[in-house]
Amino acid sequence: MEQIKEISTRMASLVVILFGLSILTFSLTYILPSDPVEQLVESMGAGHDEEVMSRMREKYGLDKPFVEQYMVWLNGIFHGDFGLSVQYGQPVAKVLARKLPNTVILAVTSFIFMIAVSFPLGIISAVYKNKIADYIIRFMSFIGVSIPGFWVGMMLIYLFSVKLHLLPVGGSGSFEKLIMPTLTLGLGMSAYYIRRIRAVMLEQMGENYIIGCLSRGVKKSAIIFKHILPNSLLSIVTMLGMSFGGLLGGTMIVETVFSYNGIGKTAVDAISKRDYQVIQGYVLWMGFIYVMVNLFVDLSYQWFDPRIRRKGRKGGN
Amino acid sequence: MKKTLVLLMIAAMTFASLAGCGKEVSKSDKSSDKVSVSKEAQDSHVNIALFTYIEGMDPATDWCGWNLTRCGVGETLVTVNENMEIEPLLADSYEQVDDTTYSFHIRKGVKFSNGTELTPEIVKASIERSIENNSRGQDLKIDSIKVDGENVIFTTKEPFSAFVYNMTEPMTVIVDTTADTSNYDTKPICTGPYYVKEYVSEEKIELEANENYWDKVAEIKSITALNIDSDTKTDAILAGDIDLAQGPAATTLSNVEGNDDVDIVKVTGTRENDFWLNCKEDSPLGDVNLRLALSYAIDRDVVAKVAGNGYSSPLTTAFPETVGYDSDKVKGQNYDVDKAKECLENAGYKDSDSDGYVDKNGENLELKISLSSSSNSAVSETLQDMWEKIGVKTEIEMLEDTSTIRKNGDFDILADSGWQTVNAGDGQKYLANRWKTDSTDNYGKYTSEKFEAVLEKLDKAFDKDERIAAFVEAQQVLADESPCIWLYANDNITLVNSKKIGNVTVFPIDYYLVTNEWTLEN
Amino acid sequence: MDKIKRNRDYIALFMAVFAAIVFILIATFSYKFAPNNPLATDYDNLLKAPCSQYFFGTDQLGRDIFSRILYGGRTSLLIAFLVTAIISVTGIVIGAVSGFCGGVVDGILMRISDMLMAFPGSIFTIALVSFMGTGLVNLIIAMSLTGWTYYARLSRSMVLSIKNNNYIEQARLGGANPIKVLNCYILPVIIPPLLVYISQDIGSKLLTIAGLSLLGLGSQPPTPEWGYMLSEGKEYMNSAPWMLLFPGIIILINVIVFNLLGDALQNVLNPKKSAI
Repeated sequence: MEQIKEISTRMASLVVILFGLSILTFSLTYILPSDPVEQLVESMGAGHDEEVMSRMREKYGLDKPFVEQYMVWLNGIFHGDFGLSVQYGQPVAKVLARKLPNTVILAVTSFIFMIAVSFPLGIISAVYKNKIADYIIRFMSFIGVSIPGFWVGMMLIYLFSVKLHLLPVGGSGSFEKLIMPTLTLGLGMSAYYIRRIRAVMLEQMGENYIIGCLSRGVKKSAIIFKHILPNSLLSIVTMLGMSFGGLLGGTMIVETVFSYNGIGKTAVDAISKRDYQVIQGYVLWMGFIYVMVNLFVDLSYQWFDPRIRRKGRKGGN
Repeated sequence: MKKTLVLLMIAAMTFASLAGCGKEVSKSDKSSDKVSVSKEAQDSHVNIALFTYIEGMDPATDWCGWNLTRCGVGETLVTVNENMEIEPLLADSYEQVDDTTYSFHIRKGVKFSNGTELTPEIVKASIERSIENNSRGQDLKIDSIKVDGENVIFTTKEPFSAFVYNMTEPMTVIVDTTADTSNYDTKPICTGPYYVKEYVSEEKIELEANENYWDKVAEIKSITALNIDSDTKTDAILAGDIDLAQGPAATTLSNVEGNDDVDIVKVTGTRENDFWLNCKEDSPLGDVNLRLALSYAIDRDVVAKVAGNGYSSPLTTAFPETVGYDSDKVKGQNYDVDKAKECLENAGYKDSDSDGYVDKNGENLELKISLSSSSNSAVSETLQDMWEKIGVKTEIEMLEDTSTIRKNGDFDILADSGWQTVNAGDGQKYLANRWKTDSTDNYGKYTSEKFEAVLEKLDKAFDKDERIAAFVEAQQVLADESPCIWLYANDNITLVNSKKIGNVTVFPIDYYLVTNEWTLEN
Repeated sequence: MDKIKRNRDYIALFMAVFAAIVFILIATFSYKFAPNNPLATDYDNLLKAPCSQYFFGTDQLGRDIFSRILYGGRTSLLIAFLVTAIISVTGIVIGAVSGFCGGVVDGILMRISDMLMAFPGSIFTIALVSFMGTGLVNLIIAMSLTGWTYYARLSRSMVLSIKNNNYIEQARLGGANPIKVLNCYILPVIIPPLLVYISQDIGSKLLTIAGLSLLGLGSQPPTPEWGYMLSEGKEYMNSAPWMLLFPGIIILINVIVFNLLGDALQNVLNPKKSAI
């Protein structure tokens, strides 16, 4: 019951946030100089024929006043119509639906990569605190959090594509094209999570109950896997959720560097091309993710932490 | 219990994914290599990258027709060849009946890729469809189209000397209007040497040789045109992802130089790059002497080197030479610092306070160079440096969007790039767009009676030689009055893997590429 | 914990501060160190590989990359410092006020920050820069407008956790007005732990600026700036990889220094948390 109520409140807040975001975006794009038609005409380099432009504006409904444009758009939303992209000449839903799978795939691969790297290394680093392994891992992860991600990406391109010709330079749609963006995103996040996992685990190790266990002679590995890790996981889960949400929003810079046809690059292009409807669609998607991630994080708290769970049940009665 | 389970799962996932990653890489690498090799050997297939990738394939939509001519899918009644001359295509001959009437004789025996016979009726319907649906359709100034036996008769709304040239514009690509046109946005039925087999938005266009082609059927049986950024085309051809790349970024070409397999095929393009000068009365640049001084101070060889990495040609006139408007007869401003200083003095500027910068009435001359932040600032920085040497102080202003200052004429010097000087093979529209007094694209607000007079001459010049003479005159007027500073024209570069494709022609106009003449090497 | 450890922490902090100061000094007095004028072009030596005359090679206009990097530090570091200063001060004040006052004020301020957090920050920054025009000042404004929310959240939760402590109650009962309580009793407690974030934020702002420059929003040429140098270098990656390599390394080193500073501060200020 409690959870259903929780979810329905969240859904209500989702609607409010999305509504607010759409107005904000609409106003923001409206104050921007230039418009999508002008940008399209400009990119062809064949002059700005006012007649041609006004015919195109009419076609895309850009000649209407601000409020009317917004109402038309809002009305469309309720009919599953997210507007027409000027840049692509296609419905926004179609454009985004084409790009979203790419972003989701990249998000999943880099997330898995991050977990595969950061959990073992983070645990090793905490368990062997102040040993050589710890120092090496700490040093590497420190470099990792300080290094500009897109720069790593460019260096990877230079090394693997330009010099060694091992991987395609950019693009999306195949396994080879996924490797470098995954590495770039995954390594950056891994470095961050190794540090977090180490810190959280060390914090747990200092707790009294662990010291108690140790003094009772419980095996160290048992303590680590039975007590420390599960409890550490609690505080990591929130961050994992937020990171994954961030990835689903598409990483503008990494996608741009690798010309990866995901939703983040689309957003960057849409801004420079002033493709209003696409920007709108993107912002709505981001708002949706934001609310969903928050919901997920709260629910996972309840699932992972019996204290909160029990409290929740009691409150429900 | 639950916690341990979760943990075990995470641990298992961790190691499984690590181990899995390692294996998968090597496996898929090998298999994909094998597949591609064997497939290529059988099919005579090549991969190419187009100059720009425009979304959509219907000539009746905006600029989509450019895709069709680039891919060798669509054909127009007449076309422009690599020497910028009009050539018959779907019309085997044409004649001008009077000032407003043209007759095109439609070639016999032409079939669409679906087997339908090309008829004058379809030509009429197809062009009418483009005029009606394409936002640029009115540019053709066609009043009516009639079928007269094997001919199609066009009547223009007014005497329009560039009409035949305009019939080469890819929006007039002939499509089969008797078939279902609803999916022409992805799979139009045209008459070219190739047809669209599959179209994947933003990713690729799969082309297959049209066995019904009226001329020699293409030797290369299938082509995949991929969407690749100009920055990465060079790397893609070196990596073997593609066999031909049209329009790679000049800065990336050093890697190909000296490569035995990849040829750099180039021809000076028809796009020019220049900087606008604000000619308004109240602007300091309203004084023609100052404009000339700025122009003389520029060493265009250096600018071309900086801009094109060796793949640009310096330009002092409105048209690059390849266009064929006898630009060599025009006297522009060649690099001459003394002349520049002389012009400065004529304009009344002197460095009277010896601060290194020229001044007039006690005020330093300070000019702003505005450019879009998405463009390369190297050329602007070079000009700044060169103008500094004659004592003109400039400041560079990068704007996310230059349209506002452009419209308001709110700038001193404005970087502009990539104007196509010949629209549909003719340069009149470009001249009128940019320097005619009331044109919306005349950002510098240049007005000149001399120039207007030449434009009027062009309107009436139907004869080829007469037109070229007028174009030379127009270029000279512009060079003398310098409403813009012409800098360089980029080469149209096509990278060709000579081990795969032979007999590639590079056209000055970048919306032509694939032809039926391409041969398969090895 | 033990004294040796404490001493080691202080030494580390001292060294980190020292390194940061050295970098700031190099940037400030770059005109004294730079072997060449960072704006001087040399058209005979375009895109020249590193050599004895040009340690880091030359760029597309034949300018000395080494000197440009030295000068570039000024702009890059200055923006990073300014932005961090602005967002941390406004963020902390807003958060503290919000947490301290509670009620309607808290509600409004937190909803605003909610909205800004849900809205993709980069879109907002890009849109604002597009609207106001590119340039360093506008970049600083745009980054500041969106960046404060994180500090506000942090300081608000810290204020909430100490608000009901006895000593604050006593101060209030003793007749101190709210502003005085905030000034004398709350801010001094919450700011030291936040210093850790601030110093690390300088590093991350360096990265953000470079990223925004990459997307074409940022400094105005020919003034050298690290991020802009990277974005220029991107175009010449094939022919002149050094244009990309060296600015990247220098950004990396600077970020490392400020992250080290943050870590060292953490060890000194919160010994309990870091001891483990």
